[in-house]
Amino acid sequence: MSIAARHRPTQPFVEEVLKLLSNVLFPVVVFLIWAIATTIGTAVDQNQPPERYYEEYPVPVANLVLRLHLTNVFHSIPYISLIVLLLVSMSVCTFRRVIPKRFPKDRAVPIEKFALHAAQITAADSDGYALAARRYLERRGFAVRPQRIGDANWLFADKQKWARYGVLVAHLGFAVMALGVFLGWLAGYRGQLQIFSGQTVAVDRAAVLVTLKKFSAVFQPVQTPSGVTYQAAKFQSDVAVRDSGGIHPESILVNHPYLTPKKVYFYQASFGFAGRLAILRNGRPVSLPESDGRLMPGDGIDLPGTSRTIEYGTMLGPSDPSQLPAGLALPRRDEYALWIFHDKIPTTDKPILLPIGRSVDAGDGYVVSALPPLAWSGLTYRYDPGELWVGAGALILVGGFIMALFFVPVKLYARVQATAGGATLDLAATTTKGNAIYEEDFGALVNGLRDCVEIGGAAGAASVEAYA
Amino acid sequence: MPDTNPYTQYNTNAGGAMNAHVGAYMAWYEAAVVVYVLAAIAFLAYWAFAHRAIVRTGASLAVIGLLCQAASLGLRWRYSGHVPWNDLYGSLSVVTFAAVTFFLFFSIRFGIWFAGPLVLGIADALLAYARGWNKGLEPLVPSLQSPWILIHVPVVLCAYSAFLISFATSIVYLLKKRVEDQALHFAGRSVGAAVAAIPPEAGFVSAPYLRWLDRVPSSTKLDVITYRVTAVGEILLTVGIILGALWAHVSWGTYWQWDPKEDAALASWAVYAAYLHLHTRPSWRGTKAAWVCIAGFVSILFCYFAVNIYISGLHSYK
Ligand code: HEM
Repeated sequence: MSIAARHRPTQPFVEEVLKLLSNVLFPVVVFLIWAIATTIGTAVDQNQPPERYYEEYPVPVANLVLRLHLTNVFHSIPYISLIVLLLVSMSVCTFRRVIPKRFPKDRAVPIEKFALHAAQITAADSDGYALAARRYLERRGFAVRPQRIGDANWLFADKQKWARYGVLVAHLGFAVMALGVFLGWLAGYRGQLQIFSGQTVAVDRAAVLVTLKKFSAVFQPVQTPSGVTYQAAKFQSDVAVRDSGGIHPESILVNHPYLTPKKVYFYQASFGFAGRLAILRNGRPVSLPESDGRLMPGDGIDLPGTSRTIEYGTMLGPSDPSQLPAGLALPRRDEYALWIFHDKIPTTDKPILLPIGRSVDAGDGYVVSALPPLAWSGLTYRYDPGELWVGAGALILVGGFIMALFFVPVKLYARVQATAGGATLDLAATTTKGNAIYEEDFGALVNGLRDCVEIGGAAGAASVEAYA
Repeated sequence: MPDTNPYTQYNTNAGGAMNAHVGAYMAWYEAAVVVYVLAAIAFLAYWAFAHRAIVRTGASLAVIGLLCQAASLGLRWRYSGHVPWNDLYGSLSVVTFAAVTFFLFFSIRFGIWFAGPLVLGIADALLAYARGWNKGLEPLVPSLQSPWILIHVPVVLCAYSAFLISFATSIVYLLKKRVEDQALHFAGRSVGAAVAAIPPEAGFVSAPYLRWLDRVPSSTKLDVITYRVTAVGEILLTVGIILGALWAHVSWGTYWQWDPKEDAALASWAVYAAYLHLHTRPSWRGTKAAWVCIAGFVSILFCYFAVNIYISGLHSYK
C-alpha cells in the first residue's frame, strides 16, 4: 500500500474538521461559551482559599464552585482551550474562506436572478446610454470596466472592493498582537523590588543598581458625609539609577515609569513604612542580632531573657493616613500600633499606640522607644521586546475592523441593450453583507441612472420598472 | 519623608467653596434630567401622532438636555481640575451624553426617531440614578493621573452608548417583526372567523398601542440599522479595551491582569463578536441576531453596574 493510500481514509475526517472550523457558526458558539465562562470568572472571586467560598455562598453553591473549579477560571485548561479554538478557527477560516474568496469575475450574468436588480427603458440610443451610465457611476465613486458582450454593452463596476480584505487585515492584526505577546513571553522578563530608603538594590538582568533616595506620599483630606478621609494624591520614588553610563537621578511616579536606555521599565507599584524601635534594658541599649531594625506588620521581637515579645502592627499618622480606620481623627504625629505579649498573652486589650519619639515600658526592665519610620517603595520592573508588535497589531486590528464593519464592498453589473425605440438598462448589485444593507443606496443609484440620461439630454422619460 | 502632613488641617472654608461649586454643576445636571424626561415624552407622543413637529420638539429638547449636561460636565471639570469621569456619577453622565448624541446622529442618518422613548427613557434613568454616586470634587487618585484617562474611559463609555441604541433598535425590531409576521399570517387566511374582524384593505390591524409600528421601517431595515450601530459600538469597545490594555502596560506593567472589569468587558466584546459573526449568515439575521444583541446589552449592564458596584478590583472607581 502506498503512503498516499494509507493516508486517504483520514482525509474525509480532516476535511470535516476543517469544514467545521471554518463554519462561521463555530466561532459564534465558541464566542458565546467564552463570554459565559468569562462572566462566571468575573462574578466568582478567583483564587481564594476554599473557606472563603463557604463564607460567601450557601453550601451547595460553594460546593459547586469548588467542584467545577470555578475558582480559577482564567488559567484553566478549558478556558485556554476556548481561546486556542478561536485562534485556530480564525486561522482556518482565513485560509479556507477569506483568502480564497475572489471578487466576482466580470462576466455576463443573468441579472434578473439577483435579489437587487432593476430595469430601465429610455429613448436614448444604447451606446449613448452606456456612456452616460458609465460617467454617472464613475462620479459615484465606482471603478467601471465596460465590455461589449454579444450585442450588449456591459458595465462591470465596483466600489470599496478593498473592504473585502477587512476581515483578513483584522485577523492579521490579531496574529501580530499574538506574536508580540509571544515575544514578550519568550524574551522578556519582569520582577519586583522592595527598596527601603537609602538602600541600594542590584537588578542584574537590567544591569542597573537602584538606590532609593526618598519616597514621598501625598494625601489630600476630603470631606465626606462620614467625616474627613485622606485620598492619595501622589506616590513618588526619587531614585538614583547607576548603569554603565553613570548615575542618573530619576523620579518614578504612578503612571510615569522610568525607562532605562536598555528599555527596561521601572514602575511605582506599592509603598509602605517600616517601623523602627530602640530597645533599652535597665538604661542600656540592647542590640538584636537577628533583626535588621525594620519592622513590617506582623514582625515580632523576642526580648532576650524574658518571655516577652513585641509585635509590630502598623503605622498610623500623617505620613500614611491611608492606614487610618474610618471615623478616627488623624494623629498629629506618626505612631506605631504595637502589642506586647507576655507568655504569649497580650498585656493590653487594645494595641498600644506609641508616637514617634516616645517610649513605653515593656516590663522586666525593658523600655521600647519609637524611632522615625523608614519608607519603602515597591517597584515593578519589566522588559518586553514584544510591545511594539502588540501596539502595531492593535492598530492593524482596529484598521481591519473599520474596513470590515463600516464599508460595504459592492459589485455592479449593468447591461445596456438596444430595444425598439431606445435602450434598456438592467442593473444588479451584490454585496458581501446581504442585500438589505445596500437597498437604499441601490434605489438612489437607480434613480440617478434614470436622471443622468434625462439630464444628459436623451429624449423621453426613463422609467424604473422594478427594483427588489 | 514628611513628618507632618501639609494637608492635615482640613480647611473648612475650602469645603464651603467646594460645596458651592458642586451645587453649580448639580443644578445643570438636574436641569438635564428634567429636559430629557420632556424629550422622552415628546418622542412618546410621536408614537401616537405622526407629526414632524413632534419629532422636531423632541430633538430640540434632546439638544437642550445635551447643552445642560455639557455645562454640568464642563463646570465639574473646571472646578475639580480633572476629567469629570472619575466616578460612577461622572461615567453615567458621559454614557447619557453620548447616548443622546448618538441617538440624534443615527436618527438623522437612519431615521430611528421612533426609538426615542426607549433611548431617552433609559439614558435619563441612568442619569437620574447617577445622582447617588456623586463623589463631589475629589482629587484624582494617582493611578488615574495620566493622559490615558482622557481617551480610554470616554471611548469605552461611548461603546456602551452605542450598544444602548442597538439594544433599543433590537427591541423595536422584535416588535415590528411580530406585527409583520402576524400580518402575513392573517393575509394568508382566506376564510374563517378572523376575516370579519379585519378590514379587507389593510389585511391586518395591529393593537392600538402598537399602531406606531406601522410607520417604523421594515424589520429588514431595522436589522441593518442594528447591525450598523452595533458595529460602531464593537469598534469603540475594541479600541477602548486595547487602550485600557496599553494604559495598564504603562501604569501597572502588564497588559492584562484578569481584573473583573477587564474580564467583564471581554465577555461583552465576545457576545458582540458573536453577533457580528452571526450576522454574516442570512438565515441567522433578524430575530436570532436581535436576541444576541439584547444579550450583549445585558452583559454590558453586568460589566457596568455589577462589576462597579459589587465586585471589587483594580477598576473600582465608583
Ligand atoms: C486591559 C486593560 C483595561 C480594560 C480592558 C479596561 C476596561 C474598561 C472598561 C470596560 C471600562 C468601562 C467603564 C465602566 O464600566 O465603568 C473602563 C473604565 C475605566 N477604566 Fe479601564 N480598562 C483597562 C485598563 C485601565 C487602566 C490601566 C486604568 C487606570 C489605571 C483604567 C481606568 C479606568 C477608569 C478610570 C475608568 C472609568 C470608570 C468609571 O468612571 O466608572 N482602565 N475600563
